Amino acid sequence: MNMNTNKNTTRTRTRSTLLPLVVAACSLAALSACGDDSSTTDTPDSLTIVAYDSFTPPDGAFDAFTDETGIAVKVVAAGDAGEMVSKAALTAGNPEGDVMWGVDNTLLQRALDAGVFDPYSSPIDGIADDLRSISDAVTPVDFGDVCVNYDVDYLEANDITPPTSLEDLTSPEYAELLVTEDPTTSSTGLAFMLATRVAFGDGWLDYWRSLRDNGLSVVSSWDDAYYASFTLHGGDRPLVVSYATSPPAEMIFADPPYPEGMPAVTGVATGTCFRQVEFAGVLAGSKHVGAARRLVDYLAGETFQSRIAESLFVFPANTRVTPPESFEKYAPTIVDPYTMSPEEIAANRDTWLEEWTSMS
Amino acid sequence: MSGWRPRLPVRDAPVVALVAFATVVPAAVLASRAFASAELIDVWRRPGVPRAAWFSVWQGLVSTIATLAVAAVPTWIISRFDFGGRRVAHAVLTVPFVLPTVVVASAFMSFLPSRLDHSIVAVLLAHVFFNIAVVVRVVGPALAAIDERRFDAARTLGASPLRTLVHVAWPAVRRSVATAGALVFIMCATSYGVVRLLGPSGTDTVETEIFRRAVRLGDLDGAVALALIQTLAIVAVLAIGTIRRRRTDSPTMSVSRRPAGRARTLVASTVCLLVATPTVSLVVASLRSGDHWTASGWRALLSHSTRGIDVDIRQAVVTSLVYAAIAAIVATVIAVGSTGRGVANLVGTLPLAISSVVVGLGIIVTYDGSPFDFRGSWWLVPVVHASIATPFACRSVSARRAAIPRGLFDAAATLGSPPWRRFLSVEAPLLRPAISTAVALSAAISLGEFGATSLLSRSDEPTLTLVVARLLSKAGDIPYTAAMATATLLLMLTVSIVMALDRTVGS
Repeated sequence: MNMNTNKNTTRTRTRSTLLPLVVAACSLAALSACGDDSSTTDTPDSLTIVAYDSFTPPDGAFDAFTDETGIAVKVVAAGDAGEMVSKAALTAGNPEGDVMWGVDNTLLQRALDAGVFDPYSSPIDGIADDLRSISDAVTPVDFGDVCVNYDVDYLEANDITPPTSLEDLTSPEYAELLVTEDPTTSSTGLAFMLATRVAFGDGWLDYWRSLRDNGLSVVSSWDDAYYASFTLHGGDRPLVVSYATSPPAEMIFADPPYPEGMPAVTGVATGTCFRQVEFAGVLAGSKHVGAARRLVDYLAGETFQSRIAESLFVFPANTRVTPPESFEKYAPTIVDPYTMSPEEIAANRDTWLEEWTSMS
Repeated sequence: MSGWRPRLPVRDAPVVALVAFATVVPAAVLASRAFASAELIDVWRRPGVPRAAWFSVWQGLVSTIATLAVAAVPTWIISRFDFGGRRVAHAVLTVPFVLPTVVVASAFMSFLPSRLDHSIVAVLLAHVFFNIAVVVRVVGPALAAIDERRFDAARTLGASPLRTLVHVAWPAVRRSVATAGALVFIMCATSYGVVRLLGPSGTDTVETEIFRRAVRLGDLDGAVALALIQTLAIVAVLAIGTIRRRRTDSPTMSVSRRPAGRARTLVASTVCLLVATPTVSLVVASLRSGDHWTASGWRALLSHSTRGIDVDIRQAVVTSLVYAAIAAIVATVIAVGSTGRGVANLVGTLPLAISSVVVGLGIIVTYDGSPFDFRGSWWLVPVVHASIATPFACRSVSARRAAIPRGLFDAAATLGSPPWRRFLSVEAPLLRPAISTAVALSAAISLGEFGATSLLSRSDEPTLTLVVARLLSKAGDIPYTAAMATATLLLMLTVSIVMALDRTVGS
């Protein structure tokens, strides 16, 4: 449980639990190799993971995989998630790497339709069933929720009750307070738009009209909304569409650090959340399918999963990994987020975006 | 025209090869995949397209006029007069051109009144801010090359300052003003980052619309059709902006600057202060958290010990500098080598005209293994930077070259000097200031470039701009101040490079 209080402790723990894991992973890999007759016995010198730009696993995150298999892991930064998927769709069958990290449920179907993935769902134990059931062509590796965050101090100082639901946001109490991202340019904005679509069905544009009449501000990117418009960082909007894990990040990176035991400085409107799930998959056309599958197993396995939470600020998809202490302390558990299937998103996204853009 | 200097197509081969490799071929390959001529008409019926085209045009025109107006006086003072801090002023005016857009956007928002955040006014101001450098760099050398004796003569003959300006200065610089105007118009009309970050939501230029269609909406056909239309329009603008005018020979290339005097120094300093304001607020942002001063962002970067911030900043500085050096050397060598006329002139401008989104996607489908797989190759990024910088390098050099008295070449040729010898001993030394400009601009473009190459996959160590983007994707005080500190480093590197190069010019 003390995994995020001391880096050295974390390292030692990881190493000491490594050996059994390695054995388990090896035998798993061997098993899957037996059951598959497509060139899976090869051991390349290295494998390449194609990932979005902000994929920053901690130093040495792949050491265990390399020690175990003799295969080095290279990470290619391919732009943001949308750019990464567009590029992969263009070169489907002739990929830039062997494994893709980080296609989310809003983009997944587009990638699947373009034939980006060689279907593989890791059989590794511990992956949450509700995530695994989304697709059998890729493996879930993490999840998070896009929710309205609020500046606790600002609301208290102005005697405003924090909002809890999407409906709240149209009330005059929150006039001129909310900033969100443009869904046509930002994945955060897109997730929020999908939440409203699920919540209000065909009436969703009416909801947006009320938001607009209530003084909504729309900017083009998350960092623009969060760092330029949000009151906590000097802007003039105390409500911002961000992530359920933004509060722990605020606490970890506070400067100067907050005193131990202080409550989070930002809160989450728990009824406004849309669940984002990220997946890893084997890229169709990889010359090392067997090894690539082992790498996907590793990405979804406990060793790697336990190390990414506080680097990427996402919840591990592997339920055997306990979320870091900072998440338990500062990130609320989102019990019933809005969700939508990748198929439904893919079938309607472009229409909804055009409707949103030309909303009057 | 070619009597005094034989055409040397072989000199133009490198520029043609570079632009073909890094721009034209990828764009053509992508177009061959997703082009239908009917789209050229149909695309105009899609939501957002006509509006984006109109916005590109009018906003581009207004931005250009404003930039020329704002830049005129400082360019005049800096290129013709000497005053303490002239080099610093030169560098200060160049820096905005290379700042990452996200940095400029946050700087602008921190000092604009909040009702101007996300407004067209903010976009126009940022365009002026970015492009003053283009005017200073392109028009400056031509202004500096006017012989002071011409002004003396005009004054002696009783010409008013206005008459002197119209009849002496204007003819000598109008070609470079047209060039600068065309470049600024193109930069603004195809603006991407500024419009995204500072414009009201839903405001699109053709370039952001191309990106939106190709990447967000998966409408590749529409994106390619729009890109083709944009390319044709830009080539037309460039043709108008650079129509061959009567040669404007200067009898001398020597530059002697008069002391500026107090009033002119004051004007130049004021403009520099204004231009420096956003950059100063960047430095401040790297040291401010909430309402107190802090060095935590810098410490997180430099000591590599802050939990959750895994950045090897030294590596990023080295990577950025290596890329910048390669891009600058390639672009400058190619520009100096090329004749800058005819085919080379057209080809050298194409990287400006072809949508970087289309180039980025094109590179992925072109060099994908049949017969070459260059995707993810580290050198692809600096080579694409070099291609992007080529129009600027070529124009800096050709503006200066046009001012070389051709008698010098005739004399050298008469004395039996072979072409390469004429180039080395006559042309190259006279081009030195332009070479410095080309190197400085290319290096600066490479250092700050993010938009165009963000579509290229990078497998090596990250550059400074990528580090900024990564830090800005995390919530919290330290990632933000560390991002601002990284941007400040980028700023300092750029200023140092530009100042070092100006030193070589000044002596």
